[in-house]
Amino acid sequence: MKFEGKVVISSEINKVWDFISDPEKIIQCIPGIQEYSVGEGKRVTAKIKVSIGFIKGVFHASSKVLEEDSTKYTAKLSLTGSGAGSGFNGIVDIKLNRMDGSTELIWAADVNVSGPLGSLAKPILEGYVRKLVEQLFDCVRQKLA
Amino acid sequence: MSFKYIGKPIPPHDAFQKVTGTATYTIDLELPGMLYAKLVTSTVPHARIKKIDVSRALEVPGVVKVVTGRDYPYRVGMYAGDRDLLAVDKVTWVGHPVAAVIAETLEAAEKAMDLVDVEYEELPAVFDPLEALKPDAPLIHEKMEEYRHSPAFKPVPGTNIANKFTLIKGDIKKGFEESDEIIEEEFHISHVSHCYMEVQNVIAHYHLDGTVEIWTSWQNVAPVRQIMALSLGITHNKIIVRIPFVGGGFGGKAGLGWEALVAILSKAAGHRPVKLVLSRKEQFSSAAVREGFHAFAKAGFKKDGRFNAYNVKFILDAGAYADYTVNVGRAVGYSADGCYEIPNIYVESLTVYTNKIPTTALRGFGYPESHWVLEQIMDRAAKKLGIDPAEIRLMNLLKPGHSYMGTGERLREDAGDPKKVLTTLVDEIGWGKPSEKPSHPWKIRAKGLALFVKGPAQPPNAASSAILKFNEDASIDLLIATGNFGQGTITALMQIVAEEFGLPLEKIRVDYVRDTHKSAYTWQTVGSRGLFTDGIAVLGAIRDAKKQIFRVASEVLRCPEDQLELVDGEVRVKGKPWEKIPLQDIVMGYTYPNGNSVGGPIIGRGVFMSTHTTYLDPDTGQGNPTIFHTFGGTAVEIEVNLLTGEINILKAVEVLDLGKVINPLLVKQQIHSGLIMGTSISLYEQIKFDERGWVINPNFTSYYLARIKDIPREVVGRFIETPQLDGPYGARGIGEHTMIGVAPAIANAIFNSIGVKMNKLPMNPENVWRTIKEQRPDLVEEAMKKFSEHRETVEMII
Amino acid sequence: MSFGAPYFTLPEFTYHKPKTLKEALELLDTYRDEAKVMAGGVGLVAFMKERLMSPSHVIDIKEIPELKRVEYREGAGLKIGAAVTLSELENNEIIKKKYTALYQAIKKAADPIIRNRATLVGNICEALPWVDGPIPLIAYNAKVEVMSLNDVRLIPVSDFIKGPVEIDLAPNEIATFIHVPDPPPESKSTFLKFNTGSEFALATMAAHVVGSVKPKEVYLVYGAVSTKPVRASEAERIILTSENIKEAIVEAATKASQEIDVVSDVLASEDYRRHLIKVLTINALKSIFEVS
Repeated sequence: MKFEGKVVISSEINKVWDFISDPEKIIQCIPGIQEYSVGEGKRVTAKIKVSIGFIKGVFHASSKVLEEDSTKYTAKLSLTGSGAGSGFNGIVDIKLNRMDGSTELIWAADVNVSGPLGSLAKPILEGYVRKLVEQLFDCVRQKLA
Repeated sequence: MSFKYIGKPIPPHDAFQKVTGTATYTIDLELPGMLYAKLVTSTVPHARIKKIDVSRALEVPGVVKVVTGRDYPYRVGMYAGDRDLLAVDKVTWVGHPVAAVIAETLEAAEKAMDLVDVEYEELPAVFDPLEALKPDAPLIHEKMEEYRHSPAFKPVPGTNIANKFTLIKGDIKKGFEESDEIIEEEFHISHVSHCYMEVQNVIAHYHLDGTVEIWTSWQNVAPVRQIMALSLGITHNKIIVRIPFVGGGFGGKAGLGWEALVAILSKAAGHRPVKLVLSRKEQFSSAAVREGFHAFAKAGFKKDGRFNAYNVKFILDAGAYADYTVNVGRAVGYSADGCYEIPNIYVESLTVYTNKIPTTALRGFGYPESHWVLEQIMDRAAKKLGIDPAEIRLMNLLKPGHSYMGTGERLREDAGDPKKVLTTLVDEIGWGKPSEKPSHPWKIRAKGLALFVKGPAQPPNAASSAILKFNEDASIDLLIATGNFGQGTITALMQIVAEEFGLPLEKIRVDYVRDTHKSAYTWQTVGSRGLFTDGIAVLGAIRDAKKQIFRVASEVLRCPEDQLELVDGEVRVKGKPWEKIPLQDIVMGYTYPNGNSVGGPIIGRGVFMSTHTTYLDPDTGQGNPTIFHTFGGTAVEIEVNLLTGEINILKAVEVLDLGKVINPLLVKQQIHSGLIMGTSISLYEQIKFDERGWVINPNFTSYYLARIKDIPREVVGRFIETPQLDGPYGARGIGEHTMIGVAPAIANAIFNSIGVKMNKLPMNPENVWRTIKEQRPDLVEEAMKKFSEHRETVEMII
Repeated sequence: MSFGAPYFTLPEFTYHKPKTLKEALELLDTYRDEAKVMAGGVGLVAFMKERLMSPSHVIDIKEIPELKRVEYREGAGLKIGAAVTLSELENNEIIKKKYTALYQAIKKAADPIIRNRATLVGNICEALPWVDGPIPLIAYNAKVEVMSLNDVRLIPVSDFIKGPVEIDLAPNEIATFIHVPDPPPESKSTFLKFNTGSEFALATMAAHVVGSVKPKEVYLVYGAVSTKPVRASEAERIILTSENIKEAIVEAATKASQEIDVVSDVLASEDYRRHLIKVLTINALKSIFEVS
């Protein structure tokens, strides 16, 4: 499933860039994070508690930075993970645009949920993932306000 | 000739233990000090393994060891040698075992398995075999040339082709030029699972002295030991494989399973016994299932109905490992011409790797696949030429003693009576007589039939043997390795022994445990070969024992050996029945009144070796592949609900030429079970994959197995007995055959009645509805109209 | 029910078996998010095995007397306790006589062995798209009684199920009873289920009509086709406002198959489900209006 969005963050572009390119910072914005570790090349592995309705499952996820350009303020991340007998993978593209005293953060995500849950519960999971990504970037906006 | 046991409906000898719950299966077993293993499996379809971090898993209390592929990079396999124990450099399907956690308790192992962190670098993946054949497709087995494959198979290195089999007979180009009608169609079959009740499970104990003890839920002990010895470099007699009761096999527990892996785990865990039990989910996504395939068929017929040319390309979707599937691919190839004599044949069967779950044999071994195509082609031709489907088959049927099969084998005189099979089938189903009116006007009733012929797909040197020994009371222990996973062959073999010695059946015993050290060797129990090959070996052992008995008796009774006979457990002089010795007095040696003794414990031995089967020519498939041919046919009368696509089998008929029915009760059960399994696979079963190669229905809630309400209402089984001269009492095998014709018979019923071609399996309600809607939308509209206008009060029809 | 879990064990938990409702509510008030209530456990244990739920406390309500009762009072209707099994309901004469659709749904649920264990309240609380219980209950305007230590709420079943695996139940609340009102005198209802070749229904439907000659109320409720139970309100309106019921049936069925949100999933595709909706609707309406 593909989706995209943008948020306006009332911070200067370099401050925003420093925040989002620091895994320790951005990880604070992922809802349900239980434990995490940051490895070389900014590779993050984490245990995330996923809550959908009364379902609470634990997913093990990892993310890797595929591309990063601090002059152009673009980045590309890959995400993979598994849990509850299913898996997910996706690519997230981020671009920052300089505005007057603030920064526009544009993101595009292409995420797939695979496996039995992915198929049986596709409409449920799509809604959940979309909400999660929106929540994440909204949190970034708040933290830098 | 009247028999006491042969031909009698004797209940299976182990039924009592199974029904009372006292039967012991591998899954019941526990050994002192035993550890539990759980697999960590891949969540990506094709990727290099960059790093495996087991540190967090090792922190879980109770975890003893975590093993990864790089520690033990062995390659195993029976035919293609393409399997690793755990993924070494890369994973090739979602579900590929990457690591194994070994712990004191199952709870600890299950906690730890989620804590192994694997870092992957994804590679492009391919999921469709047609895509995998393209020149730019990603290679799944780059090191194919290094694999130890059996010479009977032709992998094509540098491609994803695990085996290429070609069958060439006559001149296919000329054959089509001479034909009046050409039929060209594409067919498709989905992956299905064996769904045996007892999941695959293994206990292995790798002792400090290098001996390996294995308990496994598997079909046979010999192949496990053989492949382990060759792959792990252990001497054969240091590997002891034991199999107790087995909760089903269906061909999915042939060759080698997880035994080598679990043995290595035992060694890694400090030489303690380790048990691995697959969950049903892992059974559906990590263990081998039955392959799916595409087939492209072109057939040429003469206008009088003679089948003149047959060109078919089978493309098997074999998944990430094809160790057994290469042989299935070969069997699909040489069984392509079925029961018919076709002068010009060109068959190509490609077993192709894809990044999906590995595959293996399933009951039928390629024949249900090849007959799904062939038997529908027959009905297409029948319709095009205006000939009755039974007639067109009769016209082209193989004639024993005259015809040549596609492999160039001349069909032997005693191969059976396919004509009688067909006429009996036609008679029993009431062919030509219209069905009764369907229960509602939006339903139709129709009849369809399909013929088949099958023999075991085994190497020409697949041998069997039997050892028979007496106890003091003249009871017999039959030491055979014949697999026992639901067929009841053991009972039939016991009947043979009882009959030949004139002993009551209760005096014959076959232990429920197969043991490489205590059971006489048999190659495998697959391909319906059990009764035939092991039966011949048993008869040899009986003959051998009788000779020894008569030698002693002849000395004691002072009479030539050929004047002796065995009656009712006694050796008697022919014509002077009062001159006799009870068996008990001979089988441990005979003792004269003064104490002098002669003879000794009687031990009979017998072997089976096929003397006339051959390898098949690598380029033309010509040769003699099989030791017997069992001809058979399936006919069905079905009711199709044009509104919902539901198919109901009202009556199913199975006719088989078995040569000799040793146990009619067991044969009846084979017919029922084959029909049920065939119905389930034809109408419902399908492993579903998503775009990333995950199995999305790895459980019995979204993978549907036929229930009692889904099976044929009425079942008729008819046996013909045209003796196979070299078979035990003239018998041939039956285990798989009853499944082969079900799917095409159902599809033919639909095609014959409404002209709708069902080229894909399964024929579940949605698929049937959709196919009818595409090809005959008028029928679906009319059904809806009739349903809406239905005058009587409609009781719940759904 | 299973999805993709390779586990044999359950996550660790403490098991409680309170003898009174007050005790159960106190336990739940203490443990809240860490606890789950268990009646038959058919859904709960399956979810736990899949690691979709890992409560550290399981509160078994099967010993609480009032929750094991089914009561019927003329005018008030049916009151079904949370620990009453589907088998017990199947053998209940009032349900068989007065609540046809509910009876038929219960009779066709799963198989006899599961029915001996599963409860109707538990069925509602699962809120999975393919459960049958809610469908006839919504058609009868049934309500769920939800209790906490200090509060009691009565919620229509259609509102109680907010979405897939989402119910209007706070962590300290127990769904204790289902109240099904007494059906009006000229009520006729039926329940149909299509599950050939599938463990889960591909489409279910409950139809409840008050007044089979000139309908005053029409409920057409569908399950298994969407992420939660849905009503075909436009189809209902066609029946309510039609001059000739017989002719309206096909029109209403066609409308129902078009207006509802239908999903495609691993069990069936959208277009087949829409087709089944039409077939089921015609079947249900015919059997209610007894067209001949």
